[in-house]
Amino acid sequence: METAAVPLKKLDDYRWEIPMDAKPGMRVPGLVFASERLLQDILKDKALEQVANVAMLPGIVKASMAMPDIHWGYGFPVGGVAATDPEQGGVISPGGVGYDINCGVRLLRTKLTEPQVRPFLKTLVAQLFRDIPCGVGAGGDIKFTKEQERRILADGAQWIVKQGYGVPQDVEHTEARGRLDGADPDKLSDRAYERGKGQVGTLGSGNHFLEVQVVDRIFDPAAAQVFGLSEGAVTVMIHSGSRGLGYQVCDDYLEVTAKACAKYGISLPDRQLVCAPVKSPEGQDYLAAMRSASNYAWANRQLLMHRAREVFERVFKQSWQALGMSLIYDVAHNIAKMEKYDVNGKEKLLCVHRKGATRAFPAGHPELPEDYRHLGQPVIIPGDMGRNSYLLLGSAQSLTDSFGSTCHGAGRVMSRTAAIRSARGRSIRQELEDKGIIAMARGRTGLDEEQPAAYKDVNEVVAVVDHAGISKRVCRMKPIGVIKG
Amino acid sequence: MIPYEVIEHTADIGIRSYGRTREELFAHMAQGMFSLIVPPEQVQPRSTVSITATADGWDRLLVAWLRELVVLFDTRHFLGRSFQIQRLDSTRVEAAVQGEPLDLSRHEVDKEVKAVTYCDLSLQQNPDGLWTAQVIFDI
Repeated sequence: METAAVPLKKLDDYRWEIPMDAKPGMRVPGLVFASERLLQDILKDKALEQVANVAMLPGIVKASMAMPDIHWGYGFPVGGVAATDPEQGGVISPGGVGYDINCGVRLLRTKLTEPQVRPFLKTLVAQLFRDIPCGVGAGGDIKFTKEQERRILADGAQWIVKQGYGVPQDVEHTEARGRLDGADPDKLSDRAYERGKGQVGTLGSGNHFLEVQVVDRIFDPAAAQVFGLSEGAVTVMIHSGSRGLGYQVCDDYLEVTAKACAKYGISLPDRQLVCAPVKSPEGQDYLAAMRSASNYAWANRQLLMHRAREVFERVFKQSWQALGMSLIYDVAHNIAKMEKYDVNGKEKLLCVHRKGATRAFPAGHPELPEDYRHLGQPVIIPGDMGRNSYLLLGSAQSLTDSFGSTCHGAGRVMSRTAAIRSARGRSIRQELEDKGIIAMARGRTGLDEEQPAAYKDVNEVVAVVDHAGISKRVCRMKPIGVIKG
Repeated sequence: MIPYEVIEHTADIGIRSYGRTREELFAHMAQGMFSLIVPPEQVQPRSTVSITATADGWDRLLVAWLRELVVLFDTRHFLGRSFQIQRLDSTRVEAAVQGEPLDLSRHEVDKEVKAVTYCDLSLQQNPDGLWTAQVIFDI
């Protein structure tokens, strides 16, 4: 299990290169965005070796990239970005997206301030815990038919809003407007439908959460104002994905692409990097299935947001509109997108894998909603439980340096079993409450294994991407209420 | 011989299982996986489900077997408590699984097993004849 350290060349304070000769078979170098301090965490597991392995994928362009929150994953590291060129035999790989397709996060603002929410906080968290389906075995409270499930796969958040669970502006403020073109519900197995059927509108478990937060630091006052945020303002963040449907799509296509590797003569250093040429039938099928699962996840987060708005209405006895609970933005951080980039002076359509990485488009980009186009794309970084979350803006430098990508969160440093051991004898819930955070979790060890010490320092991770110039801090939030499955 | 034990992995979790035969190994690995979801002593063997899995080769078959059980839980919320392997060769396993559906009033849920990975997968027989296997689960 022990491997020799992967060689690293410092390019500047926030960029490190894994040279192409680090491992035989690398087609491009590795590029790691990190500080000296974060590198100490990164070097604790095999993440950098995985970055080098990804550099061996057919058709990979420029570099195999690693964000500062990188850690070991299945084949691809979590926190990795890899763009391939379909015209050069570039591949698409389910491991480069992850099991939880379109795991992502959305951020809502409110007109409420911390002093207004504090007297109701315990009630609010308890009501959220009661009304938001979360945890293992929790089914969604709306039963969709198979035909409706197909509509969800085809039309994502847009279909959910049409059913009355939201407003058009929600869709405008979602990445890809909550619906990727080119989804094909026929490319999902019966099993994926079975797993997805009862789970629309469920939070899930593990590191998924719904948080009530307070803005505690503003970095960019002008941008914060556009988003309706000021210090002391209460926000709501929802972190969830495509549930069992996504996991099944990933499983199904790991099998499909494993066979494709043999068929197309693709040899890989790690069987978990199985892939297929984007232009192959297998590649196109996965792309269509992955887009469907992505749409499911956006539908899921839209419905979860709708439920959260209803809870606030119940507790504060005003409509969510009167409470100002509008959606700031929603981003995916496990996805593959076909996007255009300048490669050596030519515009190319590339397949960009973001696994534990977030899109970070700059001001002026046509994909942005009109009201944000002058500012840039909001990037939402969920921090771990008990620590800060961030709102950032995408920058022009991300387009040149990181295929329009930035980090996604904090990344684990401690295994779940170690986190639980370290929590033994302590009450994590009490420790959080002492810090002013009311947390409710289902599952026996839910809070223990998500305790703050189990993660890298999100403040450091976000500082690195800011200093590296690939996204810029707008404001920071701290949690005051958390529900977890 | 313990049937299985939990092993550490940064973001997820694994099970190492042991058996005197391959059948026992497969059964113990399934027990280990379900133990991640709910403590086994809380699960009653009230009904039986038949499970079949196929694959090319032993390690792929182990993964396929566990994946069937993950789908069984995710779609029917059925928790397996004991496993009779009725047929096992390098491409096929057939088993009877005793257990019951999840009942949140009695079952303390621990983790959600999202997927069975190929990460650090191993299945082998020791020189003394003991079978051991290791599987990492995405949770």
